[in-house]
Amino acid sequence: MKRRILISRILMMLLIAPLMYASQPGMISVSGLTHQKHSVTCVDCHNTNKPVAKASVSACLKCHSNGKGKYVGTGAKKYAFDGHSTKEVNPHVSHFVELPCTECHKTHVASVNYCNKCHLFGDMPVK
Amino acid sequence: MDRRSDDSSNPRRNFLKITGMGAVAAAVSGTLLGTAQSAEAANVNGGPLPTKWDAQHELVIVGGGGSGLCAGVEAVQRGVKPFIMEKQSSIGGVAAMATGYIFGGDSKLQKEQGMKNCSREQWWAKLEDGTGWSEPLKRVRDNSNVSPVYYGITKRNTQLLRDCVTEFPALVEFLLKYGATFQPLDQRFPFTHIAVKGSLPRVFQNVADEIRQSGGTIVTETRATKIYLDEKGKVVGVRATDASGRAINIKTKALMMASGGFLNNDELIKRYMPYWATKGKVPSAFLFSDGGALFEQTGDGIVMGLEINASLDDMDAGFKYKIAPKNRGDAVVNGLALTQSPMIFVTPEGKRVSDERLNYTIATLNLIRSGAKYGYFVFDETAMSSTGAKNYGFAALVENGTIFKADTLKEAALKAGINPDGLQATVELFNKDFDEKGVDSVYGKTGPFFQKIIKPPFYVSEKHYPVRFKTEGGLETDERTRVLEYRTVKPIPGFYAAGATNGTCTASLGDTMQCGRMSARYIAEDLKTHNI
Repeated sequence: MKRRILISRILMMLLIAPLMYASQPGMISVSGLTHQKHSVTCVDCHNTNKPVAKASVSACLKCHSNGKGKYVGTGAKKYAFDGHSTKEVNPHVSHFVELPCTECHKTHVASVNYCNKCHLFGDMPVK
Repeated sequence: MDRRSDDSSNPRRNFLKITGMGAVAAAVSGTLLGTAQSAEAANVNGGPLPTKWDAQHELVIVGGGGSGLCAGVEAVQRGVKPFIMEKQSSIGGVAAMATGYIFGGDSKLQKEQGMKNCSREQWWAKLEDGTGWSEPLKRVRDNSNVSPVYYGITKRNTQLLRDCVTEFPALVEFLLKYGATFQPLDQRFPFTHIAVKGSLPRVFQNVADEIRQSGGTIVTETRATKIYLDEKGKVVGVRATDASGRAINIKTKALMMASGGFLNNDELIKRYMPYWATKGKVPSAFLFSDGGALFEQTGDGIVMGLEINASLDDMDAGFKYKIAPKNRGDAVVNGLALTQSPMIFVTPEGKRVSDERLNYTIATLNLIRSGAKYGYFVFDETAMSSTGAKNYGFAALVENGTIFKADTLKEAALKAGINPDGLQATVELFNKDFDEKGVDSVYGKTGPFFQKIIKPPFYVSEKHYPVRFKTEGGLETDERTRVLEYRTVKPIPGFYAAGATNGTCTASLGDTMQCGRMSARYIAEDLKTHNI
């Protein structure tokens, strides 16, 4: 019984390790490539040349702020939404409070549309 | 049975122990980040107090949702700087996504708009006799597994509820102060205040800003895992996992659990609501039935409270139910419209299931009880000009085909998939009752939304499925929101609960916010008088 537990623990450790350190060299989302084009480096977001953890939102707000430490974004647009042909929605002003930029906008992996966990927005590209 | 030593009923902790996931994660993060981890990282039940604390505060609030944030701003206004920890990446919790209905009497808005018959005493009378929610506070609970009326509340000590009713005007002032706006009140439903969409996120943002400006702290992606008690059984601190996965120990005098309900905790549901874990199971979801609830409402505060022998209240209260379309992206016919329009709600056989005035939870519960897997909304052209149809955008739903439209009731039924003869019989009886009796003879519906379904075209919605979306029970507290120990029925010193985590208060939106505010007030008093 003890050996079985030990083996299962070792296996779990081998499984976890790569997941915890799945950082990828370079940048692969649209925003990631844009950052690369503008010579944004590891230090600018992670405060170190050898990052081990994800950057905090304060890093994004260094450049993408409205001057009050907040980002309101691109404004409301019309999207096909949940069976309606169009609805005016601003994805940056929603029923979440202080949703971090990084929930949608990834840099080293592809960006995701967080709204689409529950909703179905047709054609709402996320850079 | 000594609950503290027996954790065999908690499969999640057993899973953690057997696979050693907890220990492995701690060990791996520890060695690779180069910091030492204490041996008691793997010791989740009992064990020694930390020898070193990472931070020290007067008040720690677990949960940065509606009740936690409202508590936080009350605290700073009373000179207490709270440390609020939220496990999600955003704040506002489930409350920020609520539709914004709060109920009560004697508010500034009711006075300004000349509403009559809406005093606090009258609202309390409605709660007591069951016309406010649906089960009277005074009545013994119906023992049926699927009570036809029961979804309500039975608290051992109703003083806390009473206080929430008394302080309703203060809650409305608070919400107005922090940027909420409300729809014009309706004398037909004078207790109902509906916050305009966008109000709640705005309120919570303003509240969070003030908390920080006044020296309070809000951290996200930080999940509390364990309460520390000293040898006298008094709260001395809390353990948490921070955003980087590191275990932190925070010393505190007062601890408030505002961590929401237990909608997604299958172990608690199985233990305390066994029928609903098996035979009566419907999805825990919100917007669509196949999707699950967005946040992990795992009852963390309740579980941590149980570990220190806290008492629980109202754990077998029913879930709140609603009906939802099946798939992500399906347009929603909002069940709230049931109480704001002359719609009826029927099974595939065309039979009604409840007095639709009693709200969507009753309708859904009765739908489940009838054995039907889904139901439909049915109404006529007159209903398209009702408050409900307007508020919930029915015209747009007709346009995109979520609501079927036809010149005759029979055609509408066939389009949607309802038994046309069954529906015909239901509507004929309904209309006959209107003409001959002035009241629905099957369920007793009467009043402004009891109208004939007679003017073409006729409308029938797509199928809507039952989902459960809110729990009621939680930690038992006294009227000062102090959590009680289950054997002595005395407050555990330094331990408070608010919002949906507090089983002695209701999980209704208004009560959760007001309970948070009151809890902070009592904590500030207790800190000042050294009553903690």
